[in-house]
Amino acid sequence: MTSPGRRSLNTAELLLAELVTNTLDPGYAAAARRREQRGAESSPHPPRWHDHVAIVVGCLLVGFVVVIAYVHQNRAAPDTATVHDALVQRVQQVQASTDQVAAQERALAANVESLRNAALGSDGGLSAELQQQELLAGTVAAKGPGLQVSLSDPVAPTPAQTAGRKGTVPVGAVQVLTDADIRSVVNQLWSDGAEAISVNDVRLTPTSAIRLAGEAVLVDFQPIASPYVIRAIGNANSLDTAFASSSIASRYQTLQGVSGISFTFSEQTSVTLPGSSSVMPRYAQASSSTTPTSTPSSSSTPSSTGGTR
Amino acid sequence: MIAVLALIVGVVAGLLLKPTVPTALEPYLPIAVIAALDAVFGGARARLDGIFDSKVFVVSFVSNVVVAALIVFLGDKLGVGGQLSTAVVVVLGIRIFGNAAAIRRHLFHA
Amino acid sequence: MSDVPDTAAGAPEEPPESGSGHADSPRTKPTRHLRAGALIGVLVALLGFAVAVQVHSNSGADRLSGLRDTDLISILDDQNSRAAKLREQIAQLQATEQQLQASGNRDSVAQQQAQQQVQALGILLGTIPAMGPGVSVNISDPSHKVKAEDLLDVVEELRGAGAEAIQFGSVRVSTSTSFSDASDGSITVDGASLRAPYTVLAIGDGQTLQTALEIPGGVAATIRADGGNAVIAQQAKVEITALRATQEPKYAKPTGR
Repeated sequence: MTSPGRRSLNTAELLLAELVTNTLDPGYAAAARRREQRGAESSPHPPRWHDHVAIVVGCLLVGFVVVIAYVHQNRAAPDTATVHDALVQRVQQVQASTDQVAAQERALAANVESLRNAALGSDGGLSAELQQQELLAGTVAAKGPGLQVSLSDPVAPTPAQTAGRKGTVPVGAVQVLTDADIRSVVNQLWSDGAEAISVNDVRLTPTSAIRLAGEAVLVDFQPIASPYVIRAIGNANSLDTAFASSSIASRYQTLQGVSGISFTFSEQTSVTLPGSSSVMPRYAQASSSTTPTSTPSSSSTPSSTGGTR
Repeated sequence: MIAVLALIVGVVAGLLLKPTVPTALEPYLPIAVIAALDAVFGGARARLDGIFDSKVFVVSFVSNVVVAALIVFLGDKLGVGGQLSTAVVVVLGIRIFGNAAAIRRHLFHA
Repeated sequence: MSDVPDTAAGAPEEPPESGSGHADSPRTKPTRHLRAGALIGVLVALLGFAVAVQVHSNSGADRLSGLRDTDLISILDDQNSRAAKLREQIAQLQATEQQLQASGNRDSVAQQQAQQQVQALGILLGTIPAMGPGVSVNISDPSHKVKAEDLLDVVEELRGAGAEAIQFGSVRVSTSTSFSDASDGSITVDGASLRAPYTVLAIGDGQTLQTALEIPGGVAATIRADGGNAVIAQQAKVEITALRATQEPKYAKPTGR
């Protein structure tokens, strides 16, 4: 069907219509017309020798060019993309297996705990003390009112240095926030009276560190990415007030306007923080120091240990 | 068919020789590949339409590659090389799809 | 001459594919519609599924694929050491589990286990004194430019290198230790006011701790850039005597594992 109303189309539309409808090289049609004009030889005209040669040469060239491009691509690839992709895969695998081991450890620890509680039964004091310590150390999940702080990198539609298909422009995030930012927020929350904190669902324990490995933020050895959600349990109201009036909050609010990061915080009536795997000291032992010096921190009686355990 | 055999021979030759592409010609490689595919699909469709001509097949392939390369080369000198390369690839890609659709109609009546 | 392609962008309308005519008997028409509808439904569901999977995998993989190779390798290292630590703990727990499960004097075994656990956590939380190999770090600040942030960095670096007990000046460092700058140039650590020079004690693997602090561009370098100095000495026996008072969490409640 030839396009009706063709004359009513303007040049641009004509071009586009032409582009999409006439996809066959007009040379074929012209050659066919020429053949008809030359003589009414019915369809299979005797193929001349140079026809065969032309076809062979054409197909050879086509096959050759395609393979050259393939070989060229894969020669360059090992130096960059393949190695990188293999590394990414390996990291993902190791992460997955480590997570499995961690889950196994948690299940085992829960089992041991229930066995122990069942056996302890009567000795409520020891069991309660243990539970409290586990809560503070972050090895059991905790729940309570508190505060949630959210920090995220700006998402810019600029071509990032990410590996992608050639010819595409991947949308990447610009990294403005580093581990130092998360540390400052966490530091402020502790100072404001938080009792337990988690960053992107990784619970902070006495041995967990917030560090930077190149460009990735690691919390307790686990890599996390923007948006960073920091949850703290404590007195929701006083946490909120103290945090809102802190220099940290004003710093990030200013940064929000300047570099486009997003920074929000809100009171929560209930947040649940996951527990982390148990942490056991391997180098430190309890010392039998008889003159412990206690810290002048806000508290009641310092705990004292008598004798060796 | 001779065409398919020739294609296979070309592929094997390329795999055996593994030629290195000189860096100067590297940006024109994708264009050459797309033009090659366009020539193949166009030829196949013309064959099914009954209007195949071998001379047109070869000349269209070679001229497409040369003209497209010239356009991109000129574009490189003017600073729009990347965009022109994309444009050439887009146009040839549309042609490939159109011809593929026609071939499909011939083969599957669908 | 030219065929009308299916995907014509612009004016030319596509004529309806008149394969089988419209002259269907009333009986077959509804089933055809049903089949077509079902097929369309399946295809659209597949499309939705594919989109969801793609979005999900993109969001996950992007994070890692955007990192440099060196970063990936260090993450790999960290994950491996984390896995090693976890396996050690699993071995310990399995031994404990066996002991608890073995019949006999279960009560006393459980008590012993619980007390060991209490002690271990006490060391980590800072409620009991501790000793072991480690490092002592002496931080001097003659130009008064070292800030709370830098000292927090020191603590984080020590933790990251496996420090199990840390004493900063006269304050025992624990999970909730916070550092802040006071207006008079001193540092406030958990409410205690401290002034340079600071002595930091940490128990852990001495070599690892020292290396972690001394990495190029690390905390020691930052302190030196601020005009101060950090002198790190490995010690075979570090005694940490500062204690923290046991806290009673008032808002956090355990939910069980």
